[in-house]
Amino acid sequence: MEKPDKTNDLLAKWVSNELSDSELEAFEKSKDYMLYKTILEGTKLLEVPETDREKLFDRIQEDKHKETKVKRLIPNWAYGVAASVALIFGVALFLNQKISYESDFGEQLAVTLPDGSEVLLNAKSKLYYKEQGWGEEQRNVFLNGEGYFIVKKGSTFTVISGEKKVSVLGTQFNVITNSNFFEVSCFEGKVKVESGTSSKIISKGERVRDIDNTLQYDEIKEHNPTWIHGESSFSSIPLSQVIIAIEKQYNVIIKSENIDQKLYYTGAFTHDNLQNALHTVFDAMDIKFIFIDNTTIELSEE
Amino acid sequence: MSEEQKSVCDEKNFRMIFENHSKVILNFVYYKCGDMQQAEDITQEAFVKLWKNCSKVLFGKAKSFLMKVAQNAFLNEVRHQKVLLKYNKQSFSSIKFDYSPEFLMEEKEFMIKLERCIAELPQKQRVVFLLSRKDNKTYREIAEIIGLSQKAVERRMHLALLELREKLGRSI
Repeated sequence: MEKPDKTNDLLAKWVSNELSDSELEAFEKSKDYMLYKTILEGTKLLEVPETDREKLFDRIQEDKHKETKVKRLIPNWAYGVAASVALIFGVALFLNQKISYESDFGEQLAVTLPDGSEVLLNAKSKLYYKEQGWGEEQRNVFLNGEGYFIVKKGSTFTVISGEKKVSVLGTQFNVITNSNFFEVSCFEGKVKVESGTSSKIISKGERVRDIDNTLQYDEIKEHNPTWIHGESSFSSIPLSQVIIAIEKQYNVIIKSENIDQKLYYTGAFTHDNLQNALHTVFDAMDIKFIFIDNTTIELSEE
Repeated sequence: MSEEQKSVCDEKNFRMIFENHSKVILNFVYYKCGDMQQAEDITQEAFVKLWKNCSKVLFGKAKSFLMKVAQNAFLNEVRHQKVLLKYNKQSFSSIKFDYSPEFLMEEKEFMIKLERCIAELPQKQRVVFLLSRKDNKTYREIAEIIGLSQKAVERRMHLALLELREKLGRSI
């Protein structure tokens, strides 16, 4: 590679048509010129997701005259709880020291927190907490991905993801978080789930899902999440969430633009064989899959 | 009435500010965090804040006020995801790919790799690259949006292209 010109930023000038004729001529002769050109042409074909700005404006209009409401969780229950929780969390910027743990594709990671609570992270998930004051007044942890929590009794233990929170005093629960999807399943005791402005307390054998900002109830039969036993199972879940789970488990990219995004899936896939997993999920849905390369799979309707 | 004298508290002017600037704020936040839902939330918050401070903010300064609020959201907690731009197959044939004969990769394959390489760009470079290429902003405008010098923006653009070339070049 030629040394980039640090003072000139030639490529930036090229993009904005600011090169002199002689510079341009030299650049057009360089061996990478065609590749650069193709990069720009290709980028033109990519689409930024569209937003309904009219709706957004309506929401702003609604909010304009409201006082900003910040809902905080003040828990008032005090016993051991076991739950499975599905959430999506983000990575935050911290002012104070944070301790973080991250599992890779297809990997599970067991973490013991300072208070003796345990977390089992599912594939491609990240957990962190701020060291300062942790365990004294609060036990807040932030999760991006999926985790099964076994919490020792103590101060409120809260799993946070943006506006979504799950709080307990001592419990076992599982948390998954994905964009536009939030699910909490409770296996024992009770958990409080908050999503934006709505909140619900659920008990053993119950599950809530956040659909369009309302929390909807459902029932579960399992006693703990199946993924800790090498299999991920789902019950009437948007297919897109199953696809995300496969991607994380197997480190693949699944292209699903060609299929109906509104499909729901009930079933399971194994963690130890990608072909089997794909067949179990997609055969049942009458969806074809082809490998574009080793790590990219494209879906299409039969 | 001059631009500066227009009141942000006037519903009509507020609407105009929304029309003019909401898209670039949405996209800017999206390029940073990869989550359109979150981009909407942050944009909504910025405009509500603008409204609450409408008597203090000059019409001409509304955009930089909004940008600052959006930027500040990132000092707090922000969820990060892969920034994925969808590959638009319809418009595909209309663009000429003349990267040949060395260009052995199938066009489709190239697009998938490009998508991935853009997602993998360092966030600062990606924001500049996409504001320039997808929102057609000049370096000066981008500098204003992200609060940096134009020089620094050009540097990031240059580095973004180098990085893309490096990654794509390797896989060809």
